[in-house]
Parts: sequence; C-alpha cells; structure tokens
Amino acid sequence: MGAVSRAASASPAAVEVVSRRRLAPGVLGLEISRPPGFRFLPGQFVRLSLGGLTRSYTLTNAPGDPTLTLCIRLVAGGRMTTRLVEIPAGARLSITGPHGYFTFRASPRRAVLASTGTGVAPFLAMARAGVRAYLLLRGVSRAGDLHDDDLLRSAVEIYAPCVSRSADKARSIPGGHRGRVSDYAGERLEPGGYDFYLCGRSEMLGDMIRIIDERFPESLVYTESFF
Amino acid sequence: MKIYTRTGDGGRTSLFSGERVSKADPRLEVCGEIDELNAVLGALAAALPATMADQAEVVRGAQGALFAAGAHWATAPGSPRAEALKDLGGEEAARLEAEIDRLAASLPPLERFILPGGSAPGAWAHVARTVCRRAERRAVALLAETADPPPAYEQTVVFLNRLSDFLFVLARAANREASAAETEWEP
Repeated sequence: MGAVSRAASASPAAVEVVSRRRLAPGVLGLEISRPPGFRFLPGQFVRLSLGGLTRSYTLTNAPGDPTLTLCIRLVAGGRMTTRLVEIPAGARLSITGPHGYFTFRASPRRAVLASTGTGVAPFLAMARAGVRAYLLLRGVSRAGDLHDDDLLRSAVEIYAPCVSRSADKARSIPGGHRGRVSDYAGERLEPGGYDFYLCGRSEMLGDMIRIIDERFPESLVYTESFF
Repeated sequence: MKIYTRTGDGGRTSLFSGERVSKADPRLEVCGEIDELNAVLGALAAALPATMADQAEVVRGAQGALFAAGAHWATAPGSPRAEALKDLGGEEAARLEAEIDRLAASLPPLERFILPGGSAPGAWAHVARTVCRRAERRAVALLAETADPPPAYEQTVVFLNRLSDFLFVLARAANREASAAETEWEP
C-alpha cells in the first residue's frame, strides 16, 4: 500500500514566477512555470513554498496550458500575502503536487457547483477544461470580487452570483442575488438529485449539506473546505 | 476559524464517493475502526524508545497505509471515484512480514500464553494489536456482505492480519528492550 494520490509528487519542483495580476481587490492571480512532466486534474491544488512558508493554492489553468496559474486569496498582514503581492517575474519558488480529489466526474445527474470567495478556483480550472455544469452558486462579499465572470457564465446553464454585502450592486449583475449561496439552494433550486460540488468556507459547506440532506437526499456531495 | 461545521449533527456524513450515509453505516464502522487503530499506533510510536527508531518508522509506515486503506472503505463499491485511489497492493504487508521475521529471530520462543502488558511501549503494542484485530473483524464482516468487493477490501484484511502479528512481536521486543519480564499466564 502507498500514497493514494494519482500522479502526486511529494518531492518539490522548482518553478519561476511568469506574471502576476490582481483578479479582484482581494485576489491575486499568479502565473508560474510548469515543471516538466507535471500533470493534474482540474480541481487539484499545489503546495507552494517560498522563504520557509508553505501554502496550498488551487490550479486554475486548463490541463494543457503551457504555464500554471494559481488563485490566491490575499490575507491582510499575512506573511505569505506580503511576499506574493510584490513578487517579481523570474522569482523562484517550489511546489509539490498535484494534491487533492476535488475533481469533476461526468454523471447522469445535474451538477451544482457552489463556492465562497476563492473557493471558485477549482471551478475556473474545470470551466477552462470544458466542464459544463447546471448551476454555479458563487458567493462573494462584494460585487467587485466577481472576477472571471464571463468564463464561468459560459460553463453553466445558470450562473448565480450571490453577493452577501453590497446588495445594490448585486441587482445590477445579470443573475445576481442578494444573500448567501445556501439561501439560493434552499429557496430556488428545484427538487431532485444532483451532484453537488462545494468549495469554500466550512460554514457554507455546513449550511449547504443541511439543505441537501433535507431537500435533495438522493444527491452526491463532494467537498473541499477552507479553514 | 471554526473546525466544526455541524454537518454531521443529523447523524449523517459523506462518503469519499459523495453519497450521504448514516454514521451507523457499516462502511463508516470500518473507517472508524481503522481511524482508532491509527491513533493507537500514534501513541505506540510515541512510546517506543529511541533505540527502536526503526520499528517506530515501520509503525508510521503502517499509519500511512491505513489512511490509504480507509479511503477505499469510504468509497462505495463500483463508484468511479475509486479510480482516483491507488490500488493498495501488497507491499506494506510484505514489509511487515520481513520485520516480523527479523524481530522474531531475536526473541526466545513462546511456550505459554503471556499477559498483555510489561513496559509502557510493550503495553501500547498490545493495545494496538487488539484494536487491530477488532478492525480486522469488522472488515471481514463487511467484505463477506459485499457483492463483488473491490480488491482493496481483501488487501486490507491481509494487511490488518499481518499488522496484528507484527504488533505482537513488537510488544515482546519492546518489553525485552525495556528489560520488562514477560508474565506467563498461570491457568
């Protein structure tokens, strides 16, 4: 018996920063070089090390892209954040991975994706890989956090940004809703069995799973939680 | 940061393959036994003296193997999610066999039953052995009830059987290392 992860590598690979850009006020997109032979499935993450610090970040690029992109939530005063917001192109980092099992499986049931904050990252990779889902419930605090809107809108039948704080702006977004993703699932999602993919804060996962057990008990549930 | 989600308050939880099941589901029972065994192995590894670092490493290897096995038991048989899990194979069981042979060669042969106990690490090894046997019994029961079980089920049973044997000789070796006499059972 050994490690269960498919194609995961625990030995670090050296990579370089190719570019970085602000995706939203609190979200950094980091493009890094792709180690030779690196393969991953959309939804998996890497462990990135820099100057003695290590953090997990989800890959957001398509599997065949020449470089890797990461979606990074900026934490005010965070030690890794402080280093990454000003990291120049060419800077050297190391990564391990890919890690994780939050990957998409085609199924006869309709797929419902739900995220909070940068929990949308695996859905970006899935969208770029051609995954098509029924519904995306995308929870953000502010409308300004809705980066990569067009990409996600094209990957689902129903795109439902759920803005919990700036209610007025939510109304100006096509399909936008005021409130939390679990409010939408509890009030608007029609009965049935779905494949739920939940990624984000543990509170959202808890709220969603309670609703799933009550209203959609025939569903499958896959989760990836942030702590 | 909260580590509780309250998602299990209704007595249900998610399998790796996505199904929501009762926490009384037999698969969860096997997973729980494997989890408990893993925790006891952690206590055992912590209790082993520095002179038995090699054996502690074998114990930690078994802990990793138990994580891998647990993922299979947390997956509904036939689910496509099982493809994400590596076949367990028999390497860890073979590793335990080699370690059993090595340890047993240096111990006096047993002629009577011995009471579980002795030094702290020896006693922990006996506790781990009994928890391991319970995990094995639960796994065997579910294996028997499962139509067309995945290979990992049988491989887990073999591994747990071998691990129990290893823990028995490890208990004896730890007691000898601590100069703790083995107490024979007086019928």
